[in-house]
Amino acid sequence: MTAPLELRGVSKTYGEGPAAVQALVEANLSVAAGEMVAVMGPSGSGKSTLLTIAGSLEEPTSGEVYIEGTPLSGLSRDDRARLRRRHIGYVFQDFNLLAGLTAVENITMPLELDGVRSRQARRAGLAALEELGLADRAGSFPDELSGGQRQRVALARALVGERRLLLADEPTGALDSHSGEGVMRLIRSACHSGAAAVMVTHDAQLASWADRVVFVRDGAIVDSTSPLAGPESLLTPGGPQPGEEAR
Amino acid sequence: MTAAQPQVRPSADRQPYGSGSGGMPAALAVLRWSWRLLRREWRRQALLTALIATAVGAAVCGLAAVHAYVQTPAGTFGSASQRLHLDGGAGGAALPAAVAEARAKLAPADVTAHRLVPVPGALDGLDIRAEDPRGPFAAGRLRLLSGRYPSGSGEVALTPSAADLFHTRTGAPVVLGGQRLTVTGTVQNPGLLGDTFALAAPAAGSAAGSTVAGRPATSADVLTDAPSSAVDALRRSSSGGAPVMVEQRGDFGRAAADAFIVALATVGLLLVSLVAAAGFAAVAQRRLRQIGMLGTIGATDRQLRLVLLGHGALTGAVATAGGAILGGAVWMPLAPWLESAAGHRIDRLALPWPMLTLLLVFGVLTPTAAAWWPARAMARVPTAQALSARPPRPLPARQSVWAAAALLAAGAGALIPAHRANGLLVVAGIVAVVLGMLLLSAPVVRLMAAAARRTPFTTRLALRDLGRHQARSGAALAAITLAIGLPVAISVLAAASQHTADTGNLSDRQTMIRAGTRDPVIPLLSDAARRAQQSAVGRWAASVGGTATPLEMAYDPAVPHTSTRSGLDGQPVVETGRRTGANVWSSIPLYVATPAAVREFGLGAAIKAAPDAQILSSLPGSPELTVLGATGRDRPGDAPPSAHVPGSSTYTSVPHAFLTPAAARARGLRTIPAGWLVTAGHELTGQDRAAARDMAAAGGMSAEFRDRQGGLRTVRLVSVAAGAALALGVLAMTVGTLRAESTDDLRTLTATGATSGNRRALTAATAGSLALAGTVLGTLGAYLVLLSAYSDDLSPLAHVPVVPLLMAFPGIPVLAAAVGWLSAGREPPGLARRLLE
Repeated sequence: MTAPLELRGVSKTYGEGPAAVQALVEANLSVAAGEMVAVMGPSGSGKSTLLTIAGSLEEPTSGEVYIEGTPLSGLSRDDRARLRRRHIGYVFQDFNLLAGLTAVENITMPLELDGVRSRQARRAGLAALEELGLADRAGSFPDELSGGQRQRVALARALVGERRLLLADEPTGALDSHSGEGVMRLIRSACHSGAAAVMVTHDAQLASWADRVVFVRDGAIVDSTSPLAGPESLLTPGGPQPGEEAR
Repeated sequence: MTAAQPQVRPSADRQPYGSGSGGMPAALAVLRWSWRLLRREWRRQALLTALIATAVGAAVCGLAAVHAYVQTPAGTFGSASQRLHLDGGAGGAALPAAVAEARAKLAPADVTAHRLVPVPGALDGLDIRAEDPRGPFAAGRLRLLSGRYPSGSGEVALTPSAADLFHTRTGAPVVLGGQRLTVTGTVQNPGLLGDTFALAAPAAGSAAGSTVAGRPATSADVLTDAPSSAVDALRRSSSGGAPVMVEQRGDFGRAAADAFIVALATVGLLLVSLVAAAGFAAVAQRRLRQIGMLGTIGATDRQLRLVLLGHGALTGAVATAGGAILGGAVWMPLAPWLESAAGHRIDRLALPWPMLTLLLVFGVLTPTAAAWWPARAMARVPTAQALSARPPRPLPARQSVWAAAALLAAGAGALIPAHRANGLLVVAGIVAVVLGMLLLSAPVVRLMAAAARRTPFTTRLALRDLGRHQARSGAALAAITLAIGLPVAISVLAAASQHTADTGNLSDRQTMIRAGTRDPVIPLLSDAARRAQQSAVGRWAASVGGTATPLEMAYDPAVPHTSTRSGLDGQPVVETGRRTGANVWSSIPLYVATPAAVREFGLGAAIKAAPDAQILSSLPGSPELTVLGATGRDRPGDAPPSAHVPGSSTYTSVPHAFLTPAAARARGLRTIPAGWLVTAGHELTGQDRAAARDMAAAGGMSAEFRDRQGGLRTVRLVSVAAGAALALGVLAMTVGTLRAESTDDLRTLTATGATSGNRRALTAATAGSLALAGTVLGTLGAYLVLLSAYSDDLSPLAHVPVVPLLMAFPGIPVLAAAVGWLSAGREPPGLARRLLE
C-alpha cells in the first residue's frame, strides 16, 4: 500500500554562501496510513521545516517528497495547491482560521475551492461539526469561539473531504491541558479511521499519544522510537495499542 | 473510543469533490471571504475608498465642466446649419435687395438686421439688431430675462451689459445713435453671454431684414438650413451686390475639447489607479498571513489573487458610486458659476453621458486593475513565508531606473518636436514622462533607505521601513508625485497665461485712457480741448488716489489726415511690428520714450546700455522690429537698432514698445499726445470704472481696463491646494498603514524606553520624507514636461508661480511632517502583548 507521506533524502538550506543555514539534512521519513508520528527536538532543530516541506508549503533544496506516491518535485504551484486541497490537512498552534468566515464556512472552504457547490459543501461542513459536538457553533466566527473550539474547527477543516494526511504543528500549544487532551483524542481517532498524522511537539506527554516519535537535531533525524503506552492506552483498553500495527 | 467522544473521520463517500479547478463555486467562496474582510475592515478602507471616490468625483466634475465650457454654436447659429452675413456697404444701400434674394432662395430663413451705433467712452460700438424671437432658427439665441420683447419701432430690449453702458433700465428711455427709444425689457443671448446688444422688433413687409428700429440696417445675418448648393448659388449671384460671407455650423472646438476630456479622464484614472495601487499594496501586506492560511488549505495562485482582485472590484464599485454622487453634488451648484467664465448658459444635465458612463465603468475597473500587481506579488509569496507575514524581498531597482530614463528621454523627445501643436506627440510625450517619473519611485525609495545610514535614529528607522515595504511606499510615492506634478504644471501654465501687472500688463489698479480709440489714429484737437482732457484725467486720477503718466506717439507729417471711428479729423501714427508672412505684418502700438515714459516703464538702463537703439521693446525678437506707417508698410526693409526692456513678452495693453525721441527726430517724425496710463492707489471698483468711462466719454476719450484674470490666480492656488490635499490623503493612508504594521516595532521601542517624542519623530520622518520625495519628483516631472514643450520659446516659463510652488515645497513636506508629529504621540496599545489577529 502506498504511504501517504514519504521523505527521501530531503535537505533544505536557507541563504547562500557564508550566511547559508542548513535547516534539514538528508531526512528520510515514511508515514503509513493510520499511523501517528510525533516529531520532537529543540528549538531551531528543523522540526517545522520538516513539516512545511512535507506539506508542500516549501520546496526542499534536494531530495524528494512523495504524497500518496506522487513526487512533489514535478508539480507546478497550482498542482501542489490542488494536492494540498485533496490530500493534506494542516493544524497550527494558532489555529489559522480565516477571519470573516464562520466555523462551518472555514470547514467548507477547501471543498468549495475544489469546486464543490456551496450547499453541498455546507452539508459536509455541518456533518463534520456535528461529529465534533460543535453543531450549535456553526454560524460563529473564529473570534467568538474558545481556543479548544477553534482548534477542533481547524481539525475538522484539515480532515474534511478525502484527505488522509494530517500535519500538525504544536496543535495544543495555545490550549489548556483539558482542551489539548480533547484535540489529541480527535487526532488519534482520525488515525484510527485511516488518516496518517505527523505532529510537531515539544511536549513528551503529547508525544506519548503517537505511534512513533522521531527526534530531530541540527536538521537531521537522529532517532526514531515507539513511546511507552500513553494515555491513549488507558482510554481504549480493548483497542489497538501503539506500535502494534505492522509497518 | 467511547461513543460519547466527538470524532472526525476522513470519509470519501461523505464529501464529494468538485471539478478540481474550482470554477464558479471556488470564485464565489473567495469573493464571499473578500467581501467579509472588506466589511470587517471598513474603517481601515474608508480613507482609500474616500480617496478613490474623490478622484472619481473630480474626474466626473472635470468632465462635466470641460464639456459645458466649450462654446455652443447655438449662440451664433441658433438651430440653423449655416449663417450668411450680408454686408450692406455704405449706408446699407445694397442690403434690401440682398435680403430679399436670400429670403427667396434659402427659405425658410431667419433674417436678423444689424446696425452699429457708437457708445460714448467705449472702444466698440453697440449692435442694435432686429431679430424675431419666434423665428424658425431662433432657438438658443435669445432669452427674455425681464420685461417684454420690443414690438414697435420705438422700442428696444437691452442686454444687462448694454443697460449698464447706457445707465438705463426697463421702462426708461435710451438714446442709441441719436435715436430715442424706450427700453421694454432685458434680454440675453444664452449661447453668448458676452454678446452686448440692443434688440429691436423685426420690421414687417418689405423692410424686414433691412431696417432696425425704423432706420436702415448696415448688415444682416441669415440663418438657414438650405443646401450648400443653394447657398453657393446665392453667393455667385450676389457678386455685384452685398458681399456675402458664409459660415458653416462647426463643432466649435468640440473635437479638441473631447480630446482634452479623454486626456483629463486618462490622467484622472491614472491617479485613481496609483492611489488604489498604494492602498492595495498596504491591504495585500495586511492580508498576507490570511493569504498564507488560504494557501495551506489548497488555494491556487489564481484563487489567492482573486481575494485582492475582489477587494479591488468591491472598493472600486463603492468608491465609484460615491465619486459619481460627489461629482454630481459639486457640479450642480458649480455650473451657474461657470456660466460667466464660459460665456454661455449651461444646461446642468446636458452632459457627455456616454463618456461619463465609460468613466464610471473604468472607475470600477481601474481599482480592480490596480489591485492586480499587489495581488500577483502576494500570491507568489511562498505559503510558509506568507504565514509568517514577512513581506516579499524588494525587487532590484536597476531595471526600472533604466526604463525610467528611457521613458523620460522618449517623452522629452516627443514633446520637443511637437511644438505644443501636434496633439498626438504631446499626449504621447506627457504619458511617457509621467510613466518615467512613476518608475523612478521605487528606486528613489530604495535610495532613501540606503542613504539612511548617517541619519538620526528615528529617521533611519523610518527610511528603512519605507525601503522594506517598497511595493507600497513606491506606489504611494508615485501617487504623491502625480498628485503634486499635475497642479505644479497647471500652476506654471496658468502663471504663463496670466498677464498681470508683474509681467507688464494692466493690473486691477491701472487704466489706459486713450485720446481717441484703439485705432492708430489720434483725433486732432485744439490746444484747449487737449488741456481739458489733461485736466479731466488728472482729476479722476486724483479721485482714485493715483497718478497719470502722459503717453505720446509719433506720426509722419507726410501722411495725410483721416477720420477717426467717431468721425473726427485724425492723424495716423506710426507703429512697430514685424513681417509674419508674405505681405502680412503684425503691428503693435509704438509710444515715444519721453522722460515720463522712461521713468514709468524703467527704460533708463536699456537706453544707457544701448545708446544707439531706436526701438525699445520687451517683445522677443526685437531686432526684427521695424517702424510701420499707420496706413501702409512703407519701410519694409527697415530694421533699426533695438534694445530689450523689461515687460511682457506677449500680449499686453500696457505700452511695451517705444521709439526714442532721437530716432523720431532722425526719421522726421513728430509727436502727439496719445493718452495716459493711470495707476490708482487701490484696486479699481465698479464705481471707479464707471466714473472713468463717464469722464472719458465726456472728453471724447476712451478708457480701457484690465479684463479680470483673477480666475487664473484662483486656478493656480486651487489646483495646488487640491493636489496637496490629495497628496496628504495618500500620505495619511500610507503612513497610517506603515506605522500600524510597525506597531510591534513601536511596542519594542516603547518597552526599551523610547519616549512619545521618538514615536512622533518616527511618524513625522516617514510622512515628511515621502512628501519631500514626492514633491521633488512631481515638480521635476512637471518642469521636464514644460521645458520640453516650450523648448522653442522658454520665455513663458520665466513667470514662476512662487506662492503655489512654495505651497508645494516646502509646504507639503512640512505639513505632512507636522501632522505626523502631532498624530503619533499615543502609546501603542497592549505594550506587553501582541494583539490577536
